Amino acid sequence: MSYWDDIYNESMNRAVRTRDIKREVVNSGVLGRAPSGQQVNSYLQGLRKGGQQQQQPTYRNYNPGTIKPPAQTSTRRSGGGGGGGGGGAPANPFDQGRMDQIAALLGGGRPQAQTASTVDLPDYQAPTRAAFDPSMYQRLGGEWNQAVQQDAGTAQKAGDDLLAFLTSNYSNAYTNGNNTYAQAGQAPGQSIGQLQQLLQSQGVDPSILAAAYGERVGADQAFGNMWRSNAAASDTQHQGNLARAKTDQQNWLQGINAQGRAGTAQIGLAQGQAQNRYNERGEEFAREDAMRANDIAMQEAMANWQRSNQVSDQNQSSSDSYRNSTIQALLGLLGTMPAGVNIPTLQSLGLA
Amino acid sequence: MPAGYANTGYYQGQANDATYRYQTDKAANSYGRFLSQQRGSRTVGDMQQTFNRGLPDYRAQFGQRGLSGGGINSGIMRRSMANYLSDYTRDYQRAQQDATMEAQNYDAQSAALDAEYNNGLAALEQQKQDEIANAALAIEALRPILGGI
Repeated sequence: MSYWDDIYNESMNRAVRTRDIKREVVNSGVLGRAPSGQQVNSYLQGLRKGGQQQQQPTYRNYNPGTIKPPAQTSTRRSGGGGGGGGGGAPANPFDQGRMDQIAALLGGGRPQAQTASTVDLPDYQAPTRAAFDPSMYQRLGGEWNQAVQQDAGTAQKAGDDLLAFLTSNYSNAYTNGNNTYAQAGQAPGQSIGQLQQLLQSQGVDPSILAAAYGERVGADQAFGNMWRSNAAASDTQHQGNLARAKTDQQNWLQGINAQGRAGTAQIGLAQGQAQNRYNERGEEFAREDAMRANDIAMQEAMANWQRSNQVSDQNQSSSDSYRNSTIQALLGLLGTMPAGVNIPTLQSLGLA
Repeated sequence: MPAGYANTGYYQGQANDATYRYQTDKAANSYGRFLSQQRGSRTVGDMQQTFNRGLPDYRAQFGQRGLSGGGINSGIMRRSMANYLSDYTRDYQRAQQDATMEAQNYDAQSAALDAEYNNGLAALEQQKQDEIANAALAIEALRPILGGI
């Protein structure tokens, strides 16, 4: 059954119970139909005459199963017809004890306040999200560093190999002894000494050889100067090659390391951007979770609030209905109440 | 292994070609030097032979003119002989110098071939290692592979 069905059934039960109480009170006789004015006058005349039996008002059917009738204090007329004559006053069913009994009956039938039970909806269980996984970037960074180191090693080795080759392979072609140049003294034919002997044998001064020989020596010196110059140039070039190789090696390594740092920075930047996206998405999830949890809490609070108000209204309605019915019933007794019988207070009826 | 590609075999081929050219040029130079020295030797040899053959006739002309012989040794003859021998020895030495200069030229070419070959190999090695290092420097080629970083 639904909640509203519960409310309806409870209300109907209370209404039926109130109706039954009223019937029961009416059936008891004392809350039945009020005596007519003639009956009241007759009843009052009897009292004035004293001892004259007075005709009692007619009561409705009394159900002794629930409420016992009050004790008879006077002889009840058993026959029809009244008439004057002897006998005391008719028994009055409305003494204070009977009224207290009625009050107890009414108080016992007052509606019991219902207590609203609260509903506790299951809390929203936010799905568990995996933490940000930087392993891809870590692996990427590791592979990148490995590639950088490997390439740096390659560049380092290239420079080392080049330096080793230049050092081991170099040989100054002009000074290594593999190449010599011809000199005047090694010219084919007679030597200068033989020419001197020739001149002397012919009675000619050998000093005449000096001029031509001087040209030969001068040519040798000139050639030697060129040779040594080439040798020096070769050494200079070799030193230049070595210096260039060292510079190239440094440039290669610097270039690779710079690219390595740039790549590492870019990987870190990409990871940071991914982390930011993950965080932003996480905040969106958190907002959605909070909204869903809040929706459930709102539904729960609203249901409890509605239920509480409904129960409170129902309690108030039942109490009002009971109070009105009770007051109405008591007002109906006013005409039959003898003097000295007090109407029950609201406190005694549980209405205050 | 570098990110790029270095065709080191190309440089080995270039080195082989350089070695071949060096060896053939060296042999040609050596042969040229031999021929040059042979020519020089023949030249001076021929000059000496000519001189030796002509010298007696040259001295004899002074005797025919009464300028020599029998203890006569005129100043004209001495001056003439000095000039004759001076010219001969000058030409002879210049022929020798020519032969020497040709030999020196071949020697210089030989040394230059050695130096050129040496420098050529050094340059090839420089280019080869430079290409290897530049291939390693082409590490940025990995970036598309690594997610376009």
